[in-house]
Amino acid sequence: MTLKSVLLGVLLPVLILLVWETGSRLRWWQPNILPGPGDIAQYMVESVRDGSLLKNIGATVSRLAVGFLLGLGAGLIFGSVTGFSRLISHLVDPFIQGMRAIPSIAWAPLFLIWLGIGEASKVALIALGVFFPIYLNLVAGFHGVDRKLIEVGRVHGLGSLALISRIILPAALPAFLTGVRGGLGLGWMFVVAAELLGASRGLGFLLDYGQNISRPEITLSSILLFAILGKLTDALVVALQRRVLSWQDTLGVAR
Amino acid sequence: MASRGETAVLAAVDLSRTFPNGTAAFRGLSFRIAEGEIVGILGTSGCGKSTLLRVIAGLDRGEGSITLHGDQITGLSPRIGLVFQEPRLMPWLTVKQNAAFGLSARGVSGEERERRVRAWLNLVDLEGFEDLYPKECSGGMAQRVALARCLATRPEILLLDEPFSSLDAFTRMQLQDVLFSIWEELRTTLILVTHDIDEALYLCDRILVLRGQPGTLACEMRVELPRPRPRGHEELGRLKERILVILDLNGHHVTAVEYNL
Repeated sequence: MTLKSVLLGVLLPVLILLVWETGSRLRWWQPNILPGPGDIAQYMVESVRDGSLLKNIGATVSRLAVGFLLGLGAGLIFGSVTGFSRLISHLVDPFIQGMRAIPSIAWAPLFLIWLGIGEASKVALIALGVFFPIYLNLVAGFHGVDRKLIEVGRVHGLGSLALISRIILPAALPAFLTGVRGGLGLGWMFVVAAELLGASRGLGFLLDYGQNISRPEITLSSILLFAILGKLTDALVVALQRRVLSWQDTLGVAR
Repeated sequence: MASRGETAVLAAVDLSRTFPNGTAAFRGLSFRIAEGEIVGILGTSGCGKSTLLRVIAGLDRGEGSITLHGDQITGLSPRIGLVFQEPRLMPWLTVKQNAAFGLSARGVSGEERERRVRAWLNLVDLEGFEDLYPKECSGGMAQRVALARCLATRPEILLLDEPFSSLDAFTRMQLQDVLFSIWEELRTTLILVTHDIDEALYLCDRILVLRGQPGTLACEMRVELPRPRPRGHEELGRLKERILVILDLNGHHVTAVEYNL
């Protein structure tokens, strides 16, 4: 990236911030409709000072982490089993593909009935959202392994287990990481949904809370934090992809 | 068809391969390959020559018998090496790791593997390129790695399935010379499937010409000219002419008998 392209990319956000701040100071609109960047910053500083912001971030991130790990584990297990066994693939895959047609958020009310309004239902919803992209990409990755490479392994006398560890797993790794990236993105979406449905802590709770007490700067702070944290975790996965997939013959890995 | 009474490394008797849908790739092939011999299998596309190689390698099953040093071969064998038409390198392994693939698959590790891989990469002129990934290799380099990967395991016989056909003419000639210099050093028995008549004439002691669908053995030809052979030697030109006639590629049909082979 050249300096020029960085400057060009930054230009529009800076302009918007300037107009936004000017407009709110000059009262072009009511501050209880759209507070200015300064108000948002002020709220953030306050809530960092009293510790509430970190507590809320912690609640959201830990929910996401647990849900993500559960979804990842389930995606790995189901994806591997259906990827390797034709029988199980015929048995399970059409069912999972069918379930995929249901928007995962539609399960939320049932999860609330089954698991209560506490952490379990939230984590389950996040896990479900994370599961699908990981499962689907992993299965596609296993099925997409180049048969020609498998033949090389067989010619060199590799047995099934060695074929899996030496050829199939490394060959499916790019698709798996694509799934992880997609799963993480959906995880953020579902943590918002889960927290909006009823939570007493978390960034999703702040979204709702700001609306309830008519302080949009709280809602806006929460949105901003979702953006920053989401981008941060995505960048972590991209860094991981770049690191372990440097051998890939594609233009600049995923951006 | 025993070649000059030498001991046969590989003997094929009445080999056929009929696919489940009833079409036959080749039928009734019998031949013997002597120790250290370079045998070319030549034929137009569709005559089953690649399938023949896959059957010998054990990747495909045919009918008939194949023996290696007298032992019946019924499937994949570590004693038989196979180089494919494409390099088929593992894209996630470096040149060095790819060259070591066959050795690691056989449990060779540590110092021993390191030493052998280095020696083989030198032999195919790849020293200095050990840490490149396949995406950074040219087609010729990649095929050299594939050769090293296969040869490092020291197979008793090496099968090559049109190994240089996807390379440009100059790289192809270079690799033919690489293959020949390796053979000079090790005298590994080679079976080279090719559709390149010049390549077969340049490298082989003996050429089996397959013809038809299913492929049958049209003729067997010995190339007596000592190697390294000057490319474009007139003796090779004469043999090429005969092969073209046998393959009926000169437009006028002459049977092998009429041509007095």
